[in-house]
Amino acid sequence: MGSIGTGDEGLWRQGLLGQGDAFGALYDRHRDRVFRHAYRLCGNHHDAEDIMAAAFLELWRRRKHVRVVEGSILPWLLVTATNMARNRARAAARYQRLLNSLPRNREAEDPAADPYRRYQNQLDQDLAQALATLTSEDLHLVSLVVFEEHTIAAAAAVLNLTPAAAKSRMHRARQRLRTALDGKATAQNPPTAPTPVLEGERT
Amino acid sequence: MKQLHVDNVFSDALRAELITRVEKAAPSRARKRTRLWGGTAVFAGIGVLGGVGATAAGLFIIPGSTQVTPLASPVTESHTGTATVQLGPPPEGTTGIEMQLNCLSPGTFFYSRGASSTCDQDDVGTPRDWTRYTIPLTPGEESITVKTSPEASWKITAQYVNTETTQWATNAEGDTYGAQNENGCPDMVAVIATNGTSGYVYRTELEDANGTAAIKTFKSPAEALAWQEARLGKDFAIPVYDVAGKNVVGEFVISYAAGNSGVSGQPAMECAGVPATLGPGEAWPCPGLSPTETGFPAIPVPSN
Repeated sequence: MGSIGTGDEGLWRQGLLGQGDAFGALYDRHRDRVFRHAYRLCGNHHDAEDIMAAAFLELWRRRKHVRVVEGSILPWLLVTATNMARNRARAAARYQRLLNSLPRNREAEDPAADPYRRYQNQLDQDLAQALATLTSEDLHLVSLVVFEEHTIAAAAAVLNLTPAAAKSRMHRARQRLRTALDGKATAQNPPTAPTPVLEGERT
Repeated sequence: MKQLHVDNVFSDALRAELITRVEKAAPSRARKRTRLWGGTAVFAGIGVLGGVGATAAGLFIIPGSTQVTPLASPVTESHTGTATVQLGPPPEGTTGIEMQLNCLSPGTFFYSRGASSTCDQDDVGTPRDWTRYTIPLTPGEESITVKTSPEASWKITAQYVNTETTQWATNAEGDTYGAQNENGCPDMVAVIATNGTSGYVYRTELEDANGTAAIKTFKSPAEALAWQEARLGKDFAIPVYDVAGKNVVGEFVISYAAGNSGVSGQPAMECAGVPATLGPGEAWPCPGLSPTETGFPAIPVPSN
């Protein structure tokens, strides 16, 4: 994962000095990952966009407090997005008017019409619900380590934990998550093991 | 099948908004000195703890406070556009140059070491047009250069000063007491109680009340926000003791008032004489925000 772990620092510094393009480049670089992460947590396209947007707006607003971990701002963004997802109503309130004012290109679509889509939506919601059973600290860890493939050490650094504490926490979180997902699997009997969200490609 | 991706229209608009915000903030990270305190309700009560206010008001000298001694008469000049103000050779004992700048028109003003300040049209002619720095002396530096756009007007007052931070004192209990300074916080911190009496609060009690203790536990902006929200509109009073740390002489209140952010005003009396040692790119937020400036009813400055 070295490739994503390097290269933010220069852009971040330039951004702090007021260079909009540098900040724009950071946005381009991390937008999709933050968005997919937000989607994972809420299982809803529109909310995920709002969460992603709020995370970037927070990145700027809270710029003095942002921790660059292993050369990347992504962990900070993901943690912030996680918090935003957890407290959607309150966290988004700060930016609600702005978010509502941003234009959206909503294609006329009926998700219910597409059986695969409907099934995927259900899976996405299940995962979001399973993730919601974790404490916020565990959720941060799972997000960073499982989904975003950061090292436990990096996750520990951004979360202010010792690596050892992060490791044992991670272990327990995995178990809890597995239980939550298994419980659903038994209850609803989906044909396969839980499939996380689609890692969609930009077209 | 539909791919999962961000709406392009939304994304482009968001990107443009982000860039606008970034560029709007440039190049001054400290647009106005008080802006740095915007939203940090948590800290706002602490400003006067520096004790410099009391010192400046001639009440008494608090251990650990900073004594600023002017060493030369101030030089005042007005300019438009970039200009250099000559101060002459520094007198013996000079540790820095204290400068105050008033903007006479909107503009962004750059000082040495990357510091800068920005005036909006709204700021001109109001107390918010004021910026104050103390620049540590660099040998051979005998002038101040202010860089700005050709049409921006400004007035500067600068003088050589000696700033010295005194030592904290220790009371019979072995607790250090005095003003907060760059060395940190003594065991007992000088404050002015709500009844106007000067005294000291225990650092531990202060940190519990003002959030310093809680801040160390926050792991995310959201946690901090939630913490602030929970305390909004509430007052936390802690006892103010005499120097022995035994007798309560009053109370010190930290309020978490709503709508306190971004309030700005005249340099508080407490600010007079606060030395600002600037790091690269930093502007000193005068820590002595008075209650009227912050909207906190907590700490009346003595009328004498």
